[in-house]
Amino acid sequence: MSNDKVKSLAEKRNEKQTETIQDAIKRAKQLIRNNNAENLEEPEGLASGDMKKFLNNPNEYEKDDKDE
Amino acid sequence: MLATHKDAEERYTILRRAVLDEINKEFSLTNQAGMSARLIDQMALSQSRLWSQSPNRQVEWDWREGYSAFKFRYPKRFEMALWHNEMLVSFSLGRPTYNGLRLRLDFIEGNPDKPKDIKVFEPTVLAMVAYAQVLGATELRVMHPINQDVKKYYERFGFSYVSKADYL
Repeated sequence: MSNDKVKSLAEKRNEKQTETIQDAIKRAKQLIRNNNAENLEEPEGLASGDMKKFLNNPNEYEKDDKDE
Repeated sequence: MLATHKDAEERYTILRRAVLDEINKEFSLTNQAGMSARLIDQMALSQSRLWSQSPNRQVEWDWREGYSAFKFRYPKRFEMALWHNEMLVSFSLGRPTYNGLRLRLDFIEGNPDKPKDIKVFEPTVLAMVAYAQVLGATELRVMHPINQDVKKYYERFGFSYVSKADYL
């Protein structure tokens, strides 16, 4: 197979991936709109997670959602 | 670092960049001037140290240490640094679960002193949805909201809280 053909296939795969990413973003935006969440004010000091727990015991932190 | 780990790091960095490119297109399309999504780098990690001086900060995290440990452990991770012009406005880090069906947002922190009109959670959700799509994951989880206000805010986006394991 020539390099040109390989390049062409890779480009097509990238284009397809870009389309699916764009579609996923479009769907998520619609869902956010449907929930009327797009104009909400963010809470001050927004954060989530427990970095100290992760650093102390990453294996335990991995199991935090119980169904790994 | 093992060759397989290095290969995975490189392969998934390409995917992470592809997702961030699309988020940056979204910022352009929606006239969010000055916003940009980037991978986490040394410049961002240096700037995050300023957050520790803020009286508004709700957590005492060292992102340099946290990012370094997370990066080493999870080459398939999700990561994003959001910028508004020259101001770092958030960091987020997550990873797919071992069965690949879910993408967890393990850590997110907004700049405690960012302007109120700069939003970081919505673009983070969009980037996570896009990365989940690339990986074939079908569910997002947000781990350990730090307080009730944050939890309620996430719920407005359609996430449901699971109290026994403290995630949405």
